[in-house]
Amino acid sequence: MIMRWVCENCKRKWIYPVKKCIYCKADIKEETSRKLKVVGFTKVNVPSVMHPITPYNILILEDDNQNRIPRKTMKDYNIGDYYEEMPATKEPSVSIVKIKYDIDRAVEDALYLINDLDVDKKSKILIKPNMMAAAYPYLAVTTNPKTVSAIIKYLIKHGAKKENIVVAEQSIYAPIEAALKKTGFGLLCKEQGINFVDISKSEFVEKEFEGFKVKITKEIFDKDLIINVPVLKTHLLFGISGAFENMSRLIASDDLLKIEQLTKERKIDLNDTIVKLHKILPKYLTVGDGSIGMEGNGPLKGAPAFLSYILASKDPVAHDAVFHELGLFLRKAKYLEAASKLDLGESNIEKIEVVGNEIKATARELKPAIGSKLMENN
Amino acid sequence: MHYIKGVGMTKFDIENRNSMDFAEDAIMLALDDSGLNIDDLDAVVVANSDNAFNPERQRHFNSFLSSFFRRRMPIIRTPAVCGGGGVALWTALRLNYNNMLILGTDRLLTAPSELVTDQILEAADRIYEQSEGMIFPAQNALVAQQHFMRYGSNSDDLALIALKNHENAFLNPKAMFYGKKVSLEKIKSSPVVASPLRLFDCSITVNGAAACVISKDKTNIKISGSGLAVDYMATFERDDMVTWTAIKNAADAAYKQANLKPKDIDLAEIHDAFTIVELVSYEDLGFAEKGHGQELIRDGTVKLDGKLPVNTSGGLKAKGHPISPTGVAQIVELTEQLRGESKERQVSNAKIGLAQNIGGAGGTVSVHIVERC
Repeated sequence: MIMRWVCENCKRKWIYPVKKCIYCKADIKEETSRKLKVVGFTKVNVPSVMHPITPYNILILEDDNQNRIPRKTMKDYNIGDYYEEMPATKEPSVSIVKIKYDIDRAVEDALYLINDLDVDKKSKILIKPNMMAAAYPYLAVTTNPKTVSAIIKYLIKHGAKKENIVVAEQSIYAPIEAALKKTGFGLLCKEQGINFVDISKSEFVEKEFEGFKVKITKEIFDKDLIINVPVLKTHLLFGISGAFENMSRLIASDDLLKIEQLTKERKIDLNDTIVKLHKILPKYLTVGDGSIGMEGNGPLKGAPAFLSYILASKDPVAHDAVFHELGLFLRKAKYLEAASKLDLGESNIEKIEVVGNEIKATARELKPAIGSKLMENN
Repeated sequence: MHYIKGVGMTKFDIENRNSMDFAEDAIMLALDDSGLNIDDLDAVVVANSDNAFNPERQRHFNSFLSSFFRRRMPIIRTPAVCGGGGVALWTALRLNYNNMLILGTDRLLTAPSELVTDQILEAADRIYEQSEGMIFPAQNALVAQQHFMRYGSNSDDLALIALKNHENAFLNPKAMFYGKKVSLEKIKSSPVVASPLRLFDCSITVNGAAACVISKDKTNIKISGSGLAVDYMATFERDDMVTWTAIKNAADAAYKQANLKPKDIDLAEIHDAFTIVELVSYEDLGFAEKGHGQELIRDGTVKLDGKLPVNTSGGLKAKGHPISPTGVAQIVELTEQLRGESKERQVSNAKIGLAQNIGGAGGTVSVHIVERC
């Protein structure tokens, strides 16, 4: 997709958003085009840090207004070919959309590519971001509120009512008030008129799967749509923190502490636990927040990864499997295969339809979480 | 009016010394050549790139230079990626000082090529180009493709440019490829980096430094024209991918100031980061009509014994491209040519030389004209 920001008065164009025309101060409108023609092509054989998989191709795409963009792809094209990104034709599917300045547009595009969401004015919707700690958004410990804001805008644009949308989360490492303030979610909910639910203070219902008994917030059982919005991170215990890990904070905090203790005592395998948890959760959609993302010693002590992409999928296993591929991690997260075996989703990347950007054209090596002595002392 | 009083440069190669070590050699050579002492300098303009993989971690380079000089004179830094050296000279010419030193120093070869390529990629547009893998060979490959399609130039023309510059570097003791024969066959059979560009269409990354001393006191080399122009960063956004407007604009400004035309130029140092850039520059500097640049290499005009020798030093292609020093090293070459000091690669009766230095893919361009007087 080509985007341009065009002055409604003098028609000057920018390839990035400007608030007002810097010449005549007139309003700016967005101009987008999806049907594009290949006018340039080169095959690149030299790897770099950001683009380690070679060979890859770069296309110069042009729309009817002679606007152009470069596009990386692993597929071969000829000059004169048409290029259009179409929504998924089958499930499971995962969309990958690189953010080009505008998170709103990237989220909208990611959802369009998985055939949009079916919502109306009666739809009761719960959005579950990651707000595990009191951390500023730029650290990527928690979900970027701009990504959640984009989702809310999308939902309202597609017919949902803001009074039927709630943002729900609990903070494990800080009082909820502090987490709300630092992560930016307090301000977001206030500005957008969205209710926030502190899961730790919600009602819980006990659920059980194969001997795994746990209390889950009731909030998720009366909703028409649950949107899980994890921040895409590395994780010391799971390898990656994506859709699966983020849903663990739907569990009552005393149960969470119990699970943590049993894991420390090596009486349970956390990968197993998180898979079992998903057998008792309702189905949900995932919008993976890679606006910043984290690499290294996540989920708390890693470094911002500057991923600059959004993932979307109705299949949480497929979502996490794609993120795993995008990070070029050596060891596959254990829970993925286990989740697939329990029919929770698809972990085999070959069986997932990836739409938007291609995995190999987007992947780069992320530093895994391996721990350090510094972490022991902090 | 400023005159060139002294020049000096290190050999451009893979030697792994720190930037200041290279700089010291180039500075002392230039000062010795000028007959001036450090105390005679009124100001310094330095070009040095921020290299994240460089172990020196020395970004406040102008202050660092003050420590070296043991002087507290004005020292300013002009980063413009590969065009930093030319921008340093352009800036110095607009300062009201008598004796100035212009320095370019860089140590880029400190890491595997994947890291260096990534580092250079940072000179491209972040959102559209860097994220889509538009490393510099790819950007220039797309320019070559467009030129081929529209004007009938081809890979053989680019190979001839590479060969010419290697032949010149063979004769230049300061060049990376000094004394090293490179055949046309080797150039044409080198691996494709980004189609249609091959390895030998790309300049070679090296370490090094170059310096020159300019002065208001008259010498036998004057800087008669100086132009600088900037263009949109993203090449895909320009009206015409094969016309680099900043080259035209910088050249126009320099020609106008010098009261000269392209036909008056006796020799040129062109920023051949890629062979296609040299070809496009023939056109945008006014040496050939648009779409006819390839004729200059086919008929030998730009060879050492041609009517308009280009890159007698070996150019970025074969002398080497250490980023910031490149623009200053071009002045070193032209000065030596105009003085008649270039020995085996001396251009006979060279009176007027042109240096064109580019930052990014035509994003920043400086053009300087030097004349023997």
